[in-house]
Amino acid sequence: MLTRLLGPGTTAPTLKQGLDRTSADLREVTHRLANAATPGFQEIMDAQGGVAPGVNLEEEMVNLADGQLRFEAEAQILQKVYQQIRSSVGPGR
Amino acid sequence: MSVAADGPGMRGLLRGLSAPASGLQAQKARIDTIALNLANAGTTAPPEDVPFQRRIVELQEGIQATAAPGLRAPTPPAIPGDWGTFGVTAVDRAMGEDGVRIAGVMEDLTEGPLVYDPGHPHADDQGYVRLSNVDPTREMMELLEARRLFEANVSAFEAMKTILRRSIDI
Repeated sequence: MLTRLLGPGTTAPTLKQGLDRTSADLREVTHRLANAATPGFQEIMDAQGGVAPGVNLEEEMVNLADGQLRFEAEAQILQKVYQQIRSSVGPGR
Repeated sequence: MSVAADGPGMRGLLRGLSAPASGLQAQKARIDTIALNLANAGTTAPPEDVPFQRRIVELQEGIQATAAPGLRAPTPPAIPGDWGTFGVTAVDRAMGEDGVRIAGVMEDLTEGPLVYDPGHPHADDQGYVRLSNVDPTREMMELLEARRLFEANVSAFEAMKTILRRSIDI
């Protein structure tokens, strides 16, 4: 019974995977932001279409905001799912 | 790029704070060094001596540091630990696997400009004075960059802190 509520193929593990993925993405972003002034860290496309060393700060800040919102959304849905399960297995009032 | 694989869970999330924290520390060290350079911009030295040379914070993604050509480690100060506002231990300390690491503080070896000022106490036989090689314009530009990057790392730290708190609430 509980496997059908929380097991594979249900929403909870998918959301949990999503949370793990989003936090890993965010860690990549923060790593790139921390190394924005590190010489030879990585190369990006410059305005002329060429390759230049550095980190695209604007793009990384967008990635940061995007990851934060995605995490917030996934966490909220997971919270709702857990709430539903809790109310279905809990004592009836 | 090498972000340490931690796997999912709280440990990975907590470690997520180390990268922005190292970024903050690195940018703070840059700002301190720029302040030191600017404070010494107008210094001169007697002809037989070398005037103040511009300091540069060397940042590195990995752990092993190699000096860039034309740079060398600064000579230790007369008063131990008197490097300005940051100490040797902070400079040498590794800051975890994620983020950035301060590999050291280097000296720019290029020569400063020679100015004709025969009345100056540091003037040579021909009346020339060697100034420090600090270019205030370049330092101000670097200061702006370091400040913006510091702010970007503050945002990153806040973002990681928010998702950490949010994950506790689930």
